[in-house]
Amino acid sequence: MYGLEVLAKIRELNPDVRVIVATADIQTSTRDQVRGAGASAFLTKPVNRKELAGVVTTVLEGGNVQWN
Amino acid sequence: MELTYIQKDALTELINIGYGRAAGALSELTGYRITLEVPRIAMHPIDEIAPHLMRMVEGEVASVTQVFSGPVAGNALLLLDEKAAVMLSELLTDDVAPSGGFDSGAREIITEVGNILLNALLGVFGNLLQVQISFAVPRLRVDTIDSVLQSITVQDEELRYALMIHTRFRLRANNVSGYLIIILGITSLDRMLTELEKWEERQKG
Repeated sequence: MYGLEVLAKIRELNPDVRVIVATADIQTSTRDQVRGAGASAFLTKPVNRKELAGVVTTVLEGGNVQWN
Repeated sequence: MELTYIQKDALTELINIGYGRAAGALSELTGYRITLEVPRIAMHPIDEIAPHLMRMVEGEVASVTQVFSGPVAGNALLLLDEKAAVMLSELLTDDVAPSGGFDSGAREIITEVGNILLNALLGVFGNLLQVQISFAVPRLRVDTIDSVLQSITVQDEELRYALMIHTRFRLRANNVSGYLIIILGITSLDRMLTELEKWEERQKG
């Protein structure tokens, strides 16, 4: 199962779950699809720990993550 | 089929940006500065690609192959000789493989490195050319170049001639070097050149 399918399945099972997607795919079209599928954030690999920690904190606190 | 000077120039520009992004990702992963040789672009009959690559990398290679599809489809490869693959995985984990060989842990690491680098490279193509490229799961093989290429070409009958784009990268301060290679069939090359012209027009506008 690919990431977008996993995301759709998770959202189907529980729409309240917040999902952060980390992928090697840097395409803006992929980012837009991920956003459209309801993810809370989109990170491209390699992900550094500081960035990951920041995004997790923001998402858990219900804040807005920069999508650009 | 020959590329015109203008087509080759535009393609080189696009590829430089893509390889630059891949090198940036590798530098971020390893903490080392990466040097890239100027990418080489050439059209080859498919059966000449293996002998060509065998002159660059000897013996068995660790290859990560990423099949990509969409308007532009083909194969992207990360090629490392086995010693470089072991060294690179050790660099990333700060760990020395007990056997000194290419064990399952090292294989996983190199597969992920290939995934990141090849996606970075092809993702730039997707973004700049405004086409959606889909990626299959990356596959690692440790084999001769001949066998690696054989497995690619058997799957794709279109690949009688292919555009081969390759560059050598080197991690400064150590001996790890490898190749990033893209192989496109004729139909994809045509489509890529069309998208490339549009990209150039957008740049001017």
